[in-house]
Amino acid sequence: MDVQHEQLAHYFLQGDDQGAIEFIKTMLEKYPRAYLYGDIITPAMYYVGELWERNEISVADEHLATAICDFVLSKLDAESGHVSRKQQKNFKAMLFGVEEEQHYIGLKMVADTFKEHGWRVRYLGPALPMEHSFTQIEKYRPDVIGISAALPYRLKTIKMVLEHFAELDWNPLIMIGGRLAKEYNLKEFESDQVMVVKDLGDLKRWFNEGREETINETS
Amino acid sequence: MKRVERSFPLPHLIMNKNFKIESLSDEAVTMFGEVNHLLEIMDEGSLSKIKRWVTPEVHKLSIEIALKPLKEDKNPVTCDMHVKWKNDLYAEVLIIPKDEQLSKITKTMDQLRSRLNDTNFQLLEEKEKLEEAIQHGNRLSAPFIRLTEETALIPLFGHITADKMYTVEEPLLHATQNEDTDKVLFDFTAVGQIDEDGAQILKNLMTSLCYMGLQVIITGIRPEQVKRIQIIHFSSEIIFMNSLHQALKKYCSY
Repeated sequence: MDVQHEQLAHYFLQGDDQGAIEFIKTMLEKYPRAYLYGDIITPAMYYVGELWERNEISVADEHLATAICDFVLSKLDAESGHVSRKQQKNFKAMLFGVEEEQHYIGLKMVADTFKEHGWRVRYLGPALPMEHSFTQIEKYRPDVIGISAALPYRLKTIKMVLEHFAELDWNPLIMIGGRLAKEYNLKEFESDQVMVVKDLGDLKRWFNEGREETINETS
Repeated sequence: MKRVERSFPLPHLIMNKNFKIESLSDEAVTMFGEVNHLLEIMDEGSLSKIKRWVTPEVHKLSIEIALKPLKEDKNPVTCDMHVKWKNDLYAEVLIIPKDEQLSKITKTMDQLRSRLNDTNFQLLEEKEKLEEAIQHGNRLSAPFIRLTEETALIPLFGHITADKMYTVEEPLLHATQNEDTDKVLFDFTAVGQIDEDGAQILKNLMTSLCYMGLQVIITGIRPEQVKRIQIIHFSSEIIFMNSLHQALKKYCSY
């Protein structure tokens, strides 16, 4: 069964958006969306990275795959019957990629996961200038601020934004996610207000069990 | 023909099989500084790729790699690396940054994407504002007006939708309970279309009122609404009257 993500990766690499969408729609008939995000789309993108490492594709191919994946996610998002306003919870999440960070596919899936759980979501996209993020946060006053980074060069930026967020008077929960959270030990950033979310599975656990459980499981 | 000596104006270096750099061209120094080890300048994401491919077993090779951000830059630099092993110990290496055209296009694409995202974001904001407005409109679409001690009037406004009926249901049940009301007039004069779902909820609301011992009177139904009203099968306890005027005369005359 683990060839499914490779199949999807090939649709992405060929620039075949229709093929990718049809493939995903067929999968959606059998599996829940969360499974698709965590176990098909994410591995498909990792597989693309692996092909680059194997010297089989170039960075240009990777960009194409990302663009197609982005498109497919947007399309899925638009077509999913989101929780109607009436049933929406009053929780708000704001998500963005830190300054200079260009990786955003994971973040987009996180945005969708929040929406699926009835949250109101502001997804601000990748590489959000710091000042801009501060203004938006003051205006929207989210309960959760999710920041994402992939590369270790962003650690300094993360430190800076965290310092700023610590001063917000309504004490939002800060989530740090992205490849950086998965590959590096970010424990030093964790506090009452800040949690590290390694992947979509972590996020799912948080939705199901709340924060304490998540910490207990990992510590 | 005789081959040229290496004097090409490009970042060029010779290293041993442990990636220790033996000599560098001027261009390489300008780009990376005085480095001793090839892996020092490589982005982490490229390390395993380099270790896997750059070995004397692969005599000649061109691969894409990413360098750590140079100087002021904050993003890794994608380069083509060309490697040729002179023997089992030493390799000549050329590192050429990707064509600037490509990075220009990538940047433009990024900008376009972020613009689309901004637009998307603005649309979302407008949509939320609109939803608020609709919700607000819904709340105002069925005001509870007391006419006399016992009689109240609820004029319905606009399109009867499920959303609207859900919104007004609770406040209306509340209002009728708190007062000494025993007659409620629903006036349809200002009603436009009636949705099937909306009608169903309205019917339930009226039935609830009947159960609470209130008399429900419906006025102002227009001919084009009659068909829908028939399908709904209102409770037989509900009284229909042609106009609000008639109803007021009957129930509100002192």
